[in-house]
Amino acid sequence: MISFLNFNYFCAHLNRKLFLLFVRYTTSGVNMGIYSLSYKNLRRNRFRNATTVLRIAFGVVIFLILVSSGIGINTFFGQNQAAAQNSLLNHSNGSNNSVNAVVTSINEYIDLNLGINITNSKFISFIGSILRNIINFLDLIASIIFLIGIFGITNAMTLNLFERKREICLLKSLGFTEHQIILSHLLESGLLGFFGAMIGITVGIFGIFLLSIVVKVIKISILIPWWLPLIAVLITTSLSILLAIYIVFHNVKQDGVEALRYE
Amino acid sequence: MNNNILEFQEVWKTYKDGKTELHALKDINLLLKKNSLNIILGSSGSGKTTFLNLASLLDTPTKGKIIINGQNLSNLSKIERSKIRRTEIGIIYQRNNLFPYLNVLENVMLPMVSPDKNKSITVLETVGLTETHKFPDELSIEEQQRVAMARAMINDPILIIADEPTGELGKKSTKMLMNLMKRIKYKSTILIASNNANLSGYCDELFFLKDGKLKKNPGNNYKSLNY
Repeated sequence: MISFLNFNYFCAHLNRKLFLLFVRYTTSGVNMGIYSLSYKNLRRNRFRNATTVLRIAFGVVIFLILVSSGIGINTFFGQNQAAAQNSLLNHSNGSNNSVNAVVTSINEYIDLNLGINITNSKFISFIGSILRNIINFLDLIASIIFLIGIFGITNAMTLNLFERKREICLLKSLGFTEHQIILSHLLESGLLGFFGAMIGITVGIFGIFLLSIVVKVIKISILIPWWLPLIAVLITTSLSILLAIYIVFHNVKQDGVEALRYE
Repeated sequence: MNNNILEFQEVWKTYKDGKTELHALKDINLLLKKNSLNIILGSSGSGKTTFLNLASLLDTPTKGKIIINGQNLSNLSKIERSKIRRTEIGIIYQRNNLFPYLNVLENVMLPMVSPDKNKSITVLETVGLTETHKFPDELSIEEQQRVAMARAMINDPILIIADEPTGELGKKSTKMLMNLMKRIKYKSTILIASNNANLSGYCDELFFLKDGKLKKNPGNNYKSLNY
């Protein structure tokens, strides 16, 4: 128990040191007090911040599932299918010619057994167009769900920052410059977004890995290409920072005394 | 060493709402001497908040000059004003002064230009606080105001501005806090804005603000205030 507590203390101490080192490195030349404040807020309000992080993580999980399933915003990227195709081709240890040969022989086999040239019939193309429509519809639904995920991140960040309007005004009255206040809040929001993305990616990849076992996909890289977690982290962190810019700018321009007098 | 700590010279503050102009402060002239405790009395809506915003450099006047310790602040940038606010001015509000997730010591140390734990503890002892590890929600309102006072003093400012510092306190706590202010004035000049006419007994200079106009030594005018 004691060693666990010591370990816990050691981790907390190390986290603080790493955080401050990171801040010192990224914001050299500006005062440390305010950045230490950001760390304290992240730590002391851990339940509220955890809620924000989990909401962001939820958005990231939705993002991962949609992109890796090949619908939703995948239409815009169009890279996942290419990656999947490449991976399948590589795995089959053959070339395009061998795949085409297999397809041709399957078509011949079907035509031979059903007695008609069914693979080129209007009926098949009709079925194909229905399937394409269904996929387009799913694509639309998935995109909407993805937007809801983005809205979740937006909402979480907005709530987190509007609650701190009073604090921003107090910092201003203590003599911190607008630049310092904005930078400290952007750093904090960026970190929340980053942590949310990391948790979302961990949960999402684990979920997709389980799915890959069920559907027996040969390679997990077909579902999660290398760029996907990277894009998820970048989008989430940038989104968190961008949203914070607007809200913090808005709050920094507020009347200091009035904001503190009335709640 | 300059003996005039804060000076307002023909200061006007006007807000525009479309074509309508509202003069929140009209031709304010004021001079605060070193080591003095000054109180501005005024009812709600008299322009106290606007006045404090200007004195604490959170806002700029429409017309006129504001001089702190001999330095004219009219042409300073926002960053320069922030620096002066941090090093030369301490501010205490009626409530919500402290950061809830920082303990007493951390709250006091936050605005320090060069963090010094021993100095913070000494300043806290000056205001009568020894339990530095407590968080604001574990303190009484009076203790919270004491912490706010310690934080205002931490950078050895030349001027401490307090907006209704006793607004939330009872009679006993008010007396205690004002006596503390009287002791502190030998380090920093103090400017208090309040609507509590009972505070007038503690001050060296009394001002009365009504409809944006400031009067020195108002006689019995201030007694009509609602408090």
